[in-house]
Amino acid sequence: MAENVGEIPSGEKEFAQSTRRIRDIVEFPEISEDEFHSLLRKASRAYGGPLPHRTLSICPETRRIVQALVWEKDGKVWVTKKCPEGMITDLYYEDVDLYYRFSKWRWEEKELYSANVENTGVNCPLDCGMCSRHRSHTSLLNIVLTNRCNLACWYCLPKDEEVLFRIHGKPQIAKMEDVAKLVDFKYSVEIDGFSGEYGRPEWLEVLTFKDGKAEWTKVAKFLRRRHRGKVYRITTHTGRTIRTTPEHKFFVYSNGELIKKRADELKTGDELVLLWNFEGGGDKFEIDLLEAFREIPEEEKEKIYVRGIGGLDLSPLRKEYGDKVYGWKSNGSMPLAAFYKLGAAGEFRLGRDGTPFELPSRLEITQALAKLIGYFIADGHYTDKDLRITVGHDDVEEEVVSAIRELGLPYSLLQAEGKAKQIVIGSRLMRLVFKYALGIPEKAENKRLPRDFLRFPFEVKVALLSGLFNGDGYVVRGERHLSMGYASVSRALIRDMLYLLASLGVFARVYTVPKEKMNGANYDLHKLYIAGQDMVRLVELLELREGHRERLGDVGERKQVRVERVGDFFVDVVESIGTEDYDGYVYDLEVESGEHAFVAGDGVLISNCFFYAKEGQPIYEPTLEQIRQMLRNAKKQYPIGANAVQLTGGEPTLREDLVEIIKMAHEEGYDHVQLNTDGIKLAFDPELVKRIREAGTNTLYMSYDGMTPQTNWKNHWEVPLIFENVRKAGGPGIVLVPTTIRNVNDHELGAIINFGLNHLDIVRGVNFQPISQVGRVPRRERQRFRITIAGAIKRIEQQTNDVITREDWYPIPIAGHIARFFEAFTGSKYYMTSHFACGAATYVFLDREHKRVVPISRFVDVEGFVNFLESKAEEIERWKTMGRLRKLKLGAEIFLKFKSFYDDKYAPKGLKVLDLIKNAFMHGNYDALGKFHENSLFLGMMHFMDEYNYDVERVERCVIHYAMPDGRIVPFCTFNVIPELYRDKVQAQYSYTWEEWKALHPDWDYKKDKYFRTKEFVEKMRNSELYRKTYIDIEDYFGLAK
Amino acid sequence: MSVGPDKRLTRLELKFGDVNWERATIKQYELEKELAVWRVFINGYTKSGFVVFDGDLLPKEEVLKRLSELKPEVTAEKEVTVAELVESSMSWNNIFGKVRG
Repeated sequence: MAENVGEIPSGEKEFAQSTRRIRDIVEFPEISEDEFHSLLRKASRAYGGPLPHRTLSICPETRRIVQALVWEKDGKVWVTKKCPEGMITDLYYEDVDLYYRFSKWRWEEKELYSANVENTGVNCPLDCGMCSRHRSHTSLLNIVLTNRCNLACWYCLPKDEEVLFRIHGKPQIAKMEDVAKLVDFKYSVEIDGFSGEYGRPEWLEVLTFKDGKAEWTKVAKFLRRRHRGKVYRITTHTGRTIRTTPEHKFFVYSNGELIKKRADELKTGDELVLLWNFEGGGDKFEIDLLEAFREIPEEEKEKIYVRGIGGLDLSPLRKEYGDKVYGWKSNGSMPLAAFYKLGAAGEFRLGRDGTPFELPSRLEITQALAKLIGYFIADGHYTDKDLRITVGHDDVEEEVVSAIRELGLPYSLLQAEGKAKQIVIGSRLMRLVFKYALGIPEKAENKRLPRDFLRFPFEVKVALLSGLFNGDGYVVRGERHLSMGYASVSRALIRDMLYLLASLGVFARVYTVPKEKMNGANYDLHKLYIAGQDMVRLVELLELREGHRERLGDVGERKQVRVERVGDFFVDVVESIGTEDYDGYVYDLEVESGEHAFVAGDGVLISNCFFYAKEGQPIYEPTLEQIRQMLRNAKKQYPIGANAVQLTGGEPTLREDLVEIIKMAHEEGYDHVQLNTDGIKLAFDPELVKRIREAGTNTLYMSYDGMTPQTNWKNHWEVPLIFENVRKAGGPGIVLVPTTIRNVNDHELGAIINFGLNHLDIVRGVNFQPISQVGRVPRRERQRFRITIAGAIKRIEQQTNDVITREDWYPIPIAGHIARFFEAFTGSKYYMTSHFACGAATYVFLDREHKRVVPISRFVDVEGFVNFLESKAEEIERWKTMGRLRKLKLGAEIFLKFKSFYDDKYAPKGLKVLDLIKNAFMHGNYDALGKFHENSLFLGMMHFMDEYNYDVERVERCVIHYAMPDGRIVPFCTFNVIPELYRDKVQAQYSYTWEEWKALHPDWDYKKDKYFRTKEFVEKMRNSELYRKTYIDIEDYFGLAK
Repeated sequence: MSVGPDKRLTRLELKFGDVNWERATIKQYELEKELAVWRVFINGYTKSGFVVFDGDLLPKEEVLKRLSELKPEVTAEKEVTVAELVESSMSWNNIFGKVRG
């Protein structure tokens, strides 16, 4: 199984492994625009109203606020919105019954009467925050302590690897290093200890894979860094190649799905995805020779004359050229070198020396010229003064001569004794056009197609290809086999031809004959061949010479070649993997497309650079003063201040002054302080665990995504050490936080609860967070990974053998109803009044005697008791005052009444629930309730939203907020879903550049931030008693093993 | 460099001659994305709003140019430091209304 060992954990490998098998896909229902509007008209509008329900959402692309419909179909709840680019539907809730049951517990009162911005909220969610429209106070305040992180990844292509780019809208195959010359690398980046830099070339595009189609996507970032070491050369069965650094990810086709594998993990036989077809080409194509000739040698510029200059004012040149300008003026022509100094623009004619042959300064690539270029590339060469094409067949000679005549070029025939005939194109000017304007290199081993060949119109491309195949192509006919081939010692030419053929919708294979297998050969020979229906298409397209036609004969009905095609792509197996030494820049791209992929090398689909935006970018780390101000801001919300704070990141344990910050939170009146951490630093620093506990950390809110090293790539191997250190330090309690993803770890939810129950002495809860797919996410990806609270609850029901069922869960705002009673009864104010669809929770108790797990709902009628408390709250609210005696009497009444909601028969043994309730209601001793927590496991769900399921009604009621140093307090789902307005923007305003940070922290070393998981460590853990006790020798409370 | 508390910002109070809710939200988002813009609100219903921005990064003329299609009229202009803006945002300075009980 793939996992992060011997490197800085990144999760890419494990994610690829985890997603190999797709168990189920969410099929989004279709809804027409008419149906949408019809439902919208009759939809309920009030909060919690019946479905269909009308709300607002945001457009993932344009960020416009759009009308949205929450509606039911097939027992599920969906959200559909009409965005400028079309209708978007996503899953809102997977169980309509649960949705309605939870909606009954909605909280409709507004609980916040202070604000932090003047915005009224009419533009929600662009008005955060908090604005006067927000309804809930902060139940949990998040403060980002740093954007530094200890996990990462980064991978690249060598400088001379090529990619099909579109530069300023013009397609071109170009080397990474050549494009890099055009990029302004003004941002520094440091990832995995590698210093690098990147630019944002808005003019650059690459091809990506979108639902099987090859589509252009913008390059968001062009990155480079130094690399010394190996690069991998991957060659496929059809002869395609690409080179990358060992870490770079490829898309591997496996069981009908695309997964990612690093170059150094690929094996022969792995199936890659490659391009065979894309739409390209344009209308009439002209080369601006005046522009192209700027690159030619200076002496040539003196010999080339620009004609038709009669209308130009040459007086600015008089000082330098004297009376010559009069001669130029009267002749109507002047040297190109002087012309450039004039800076004139327009259309002229170009000639060389005194020869009459001339070319228009804007040279159109016609079919005749393209065919001649094809012949030249196939069988031509440069001399110092002309172009020569070797012709071995009469029909070829006729074709070439015909094209030359059509173009009006001077030519002659040359045939030395015993040698093949050569057609000499005696034009130095045309030689310069071929060499500089078309960019066709000298020597057979360097040959390439004209650099702009992908911009040629369809017919011109066909003519170019006809010249190539007529010149150096051949027909292979066997008894059953028929194919067309083309051979060249230039591998780059073969790459160009693959792309040229792909732009015409023709698939080709490449076969390489090593030079060692050919007597006296200096170079490998690369053979490109086309068979089957692709050959039929090619033959239909090309104007083939008579010799080829005869040999082809009747091509008849050919079969489709045996490759598996997926739209514009095909599946090809890895045939060989080699390595070579490398020292220099390596490059990578981050693309805008949600597919996170682009086509490189010979058309191989590879992964986008997944570099984590926070890393290497300016460092955000608020000062202690700013943190104190943020704490105070939320604490002073009116009328109910925040009481719980979560210190988060990046990775908050990377801050040296963490202990001080924890103490500060308590100083500012926060009762509950929790750390949102991956726990890795705590695994290796027991003293730190002790110090943060002593400072007052109540909870480690710890990432824990699954039971295996694959599903929990972040800290699987470190968790036993974290647990050990927490046990030794006597706390803090741990809440496991699985980010829950369909098809990735949703089969392990029951096992995670079982794991928590086995470590109940330190694990206080498990809080599942269904994935929030922030950013632009393609529909197919959302279908694969989307899960909601209801879906997670259903899986838990299945995976605990019906021990924890959906009836055992309650929506978060039920706490608001309980809080109302406590406010009336004790005066304390603390409301959890989120939207009913945001979260759910329950408690389960462990009956150790019978080794069974009992959800609270099995022995307490929770909803009945809450209804009773609420009726009591109403009663109390009517009283003007409540004396001590009256309070005691009421407490006794509640305790007695509680008995009627409590069934001792089903209660877990050893848990004195009645004593706890008695202490709380009759003696006001709420500390005893803490014991309730220690004997049980809290199970929670919190579904943070993304652009696709965004519901403004939920945001308005959000209870989990972020404080920002600019004085604002922002709901979680605006802070993270619209980062360009909130998280990223504010962190940019308050961040330090890399250099500033280093100057401020001279002892700081980026590499020390990063966690490097060694193979030795994993081996040691795997064989340790601690690991065994943590994961293996544990009770199976749900009969999962059965 | 992390912004300092003494950094001076400009606050423009605005009236709009041609705006509705949809265009207001679009324009507010456009401006809000700018690193130089610290606060912005365009009320499409009352046809008024304000913008607080760093004039060193984004000149006033540019701000007004961006808003030009909404036909903005500057009704007031003042300077405010980052520290003043942050302080004015604190919860204790923005209490409104009453709660039950």
